Amino acid sequence: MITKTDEYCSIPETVSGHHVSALMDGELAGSETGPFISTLQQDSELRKTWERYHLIREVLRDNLPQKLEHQVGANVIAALASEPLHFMPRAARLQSKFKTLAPALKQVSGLAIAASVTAVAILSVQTAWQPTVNNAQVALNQPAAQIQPVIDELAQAAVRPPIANVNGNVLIPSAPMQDPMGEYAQAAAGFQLNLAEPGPAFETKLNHYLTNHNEYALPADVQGMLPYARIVGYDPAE
Amino acid sequence: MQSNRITFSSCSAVAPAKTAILSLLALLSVLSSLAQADDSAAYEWLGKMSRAAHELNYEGTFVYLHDKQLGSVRITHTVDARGEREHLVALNGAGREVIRDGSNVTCILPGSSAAIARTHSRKSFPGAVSDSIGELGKYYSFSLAGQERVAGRPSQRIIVRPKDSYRYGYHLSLDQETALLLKADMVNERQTPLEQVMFTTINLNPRSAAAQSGADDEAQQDAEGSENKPAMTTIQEREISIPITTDKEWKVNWLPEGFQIVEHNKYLMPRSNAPVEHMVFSDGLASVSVFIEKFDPGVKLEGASRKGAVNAYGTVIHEHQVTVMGEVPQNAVKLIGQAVRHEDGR
Repeated sequence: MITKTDEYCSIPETVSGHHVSALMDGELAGSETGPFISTLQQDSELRKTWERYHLIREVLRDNLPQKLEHQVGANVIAALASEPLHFMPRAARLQSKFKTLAPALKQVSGLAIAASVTAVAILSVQTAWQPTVNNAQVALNQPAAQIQPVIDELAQAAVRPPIANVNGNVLIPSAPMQDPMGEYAQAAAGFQLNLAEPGPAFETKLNHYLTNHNEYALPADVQGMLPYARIVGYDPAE
Repeated sequence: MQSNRITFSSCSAVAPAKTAILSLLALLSVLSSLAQADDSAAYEWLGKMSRAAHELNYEGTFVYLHDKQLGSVRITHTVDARGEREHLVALNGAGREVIRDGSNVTCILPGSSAAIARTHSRKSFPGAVSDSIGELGKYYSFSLAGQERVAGRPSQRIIVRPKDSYRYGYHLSLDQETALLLKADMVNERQTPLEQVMFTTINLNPRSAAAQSGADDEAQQDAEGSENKPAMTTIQEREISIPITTDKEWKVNWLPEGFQIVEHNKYLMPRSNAPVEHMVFSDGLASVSVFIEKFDPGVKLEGASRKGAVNAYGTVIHEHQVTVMGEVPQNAVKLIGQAVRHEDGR
């Protein structure tokens, strides 16, 4: 402790570096992080350090994207200055300068790697939303070629007997026979619409919503780490 | 005895049936009280789990599985007189972090930029499970499901089952000793996991607890009187929220039983000057958001989408984009979305 205090007084820059490192490694004391992040916001040098450290870490992990954009921090600050900072708790709303060509259907397109460089840096943007349809209905009504994203689930669903629903009047995915209104046929139509209009804007908007949903929804403890895992656990490179 | 038998002889066919029904009823009531007991016992575990999550110091690593994608995250949770702090760091792929300090949450997305956000104090602490089953018991059943080992620790399995098709279920494993949640699966009606988190290692007596609080004292002194404080204030001042003036304009005419409105806000979305109205409904475990904003032909959300256990359904009503999103099954978000009405009658 004493050593650390001394360091802090005499070589602030090193300590800042140390702080950056500690922050990245999850070893910065809780009450230090808030003030330090505030400093990070204001101190352009420190932000460069922070960027460098992340770059180094990514290099060490052999995890570099194909295209790198430097000085993102500065770009972000510039972007921030030119627009109002909207209230969007728990998540970041800082846009990266990365070109946004994240496919909405990356499982179809197979562009998983590209997503890591191209995703807008809004917090949970990293994982593509998957259009969904009722599995069984799709199996009945849709050519297999149109349902790549759910094809594995279909295979599983096909061998599962339908489960009787609780209310008797409720359409549930596992009971395709109870679809007199064609509800899932409609869902399937929605699916096709989604396919017709995927794109970064679509993706980004849903992710903005997801972030805000996670913030405001006060998820129960029963969900444990899941809400945070949704934020941290999505790997853009997946 | 003899006369009784004669007296009731005409009912001889009915009497045994009656007896059988009565004993069956008795048996049922015993069974249901047993089930009740099981429910209560399981629910008590959840109460303990809830407290453990907020009161214990721990650090560990958990894996997160969704949509056949696997990641691992290190978590450090500390609590002392100044409150709760939590730090999550993604261990694979590009670094991603969440730091929660009391009610402030900061998210960092490396590879791109520091992503900084702060929240206001929350109305209530997230998701503490109340002490009695109460309302929740109407929509979910709770049961104990034996023991298993998670992260090398004996743990108690609990199954939370929804009573209708508008909710997901949960398979939980709680540390036998402390009731801390070690494993959680969110499952669909086929009991297939949609999202899973599981500790692989956990330390319930983190070495840093004492040292950390010492470091915190220092940090506290450093922070006080430094130039750092105003920055935090500035951020909070720049947050924009718009008062809801169109309170009655939108109505959600149908919700799964037990869902009640818990939040109603209006604010600006990033890169947009159009305000979005945001309603949150919850049944106590699951939650559903309804977002309403002026329709932008460039971004049309129509139909269903899914990410992990979170389903979304979009529709356009009265020249507005209505998006329903929540960790509930697809038919729930869909039916809710179809029940949103504008006061003009659509």
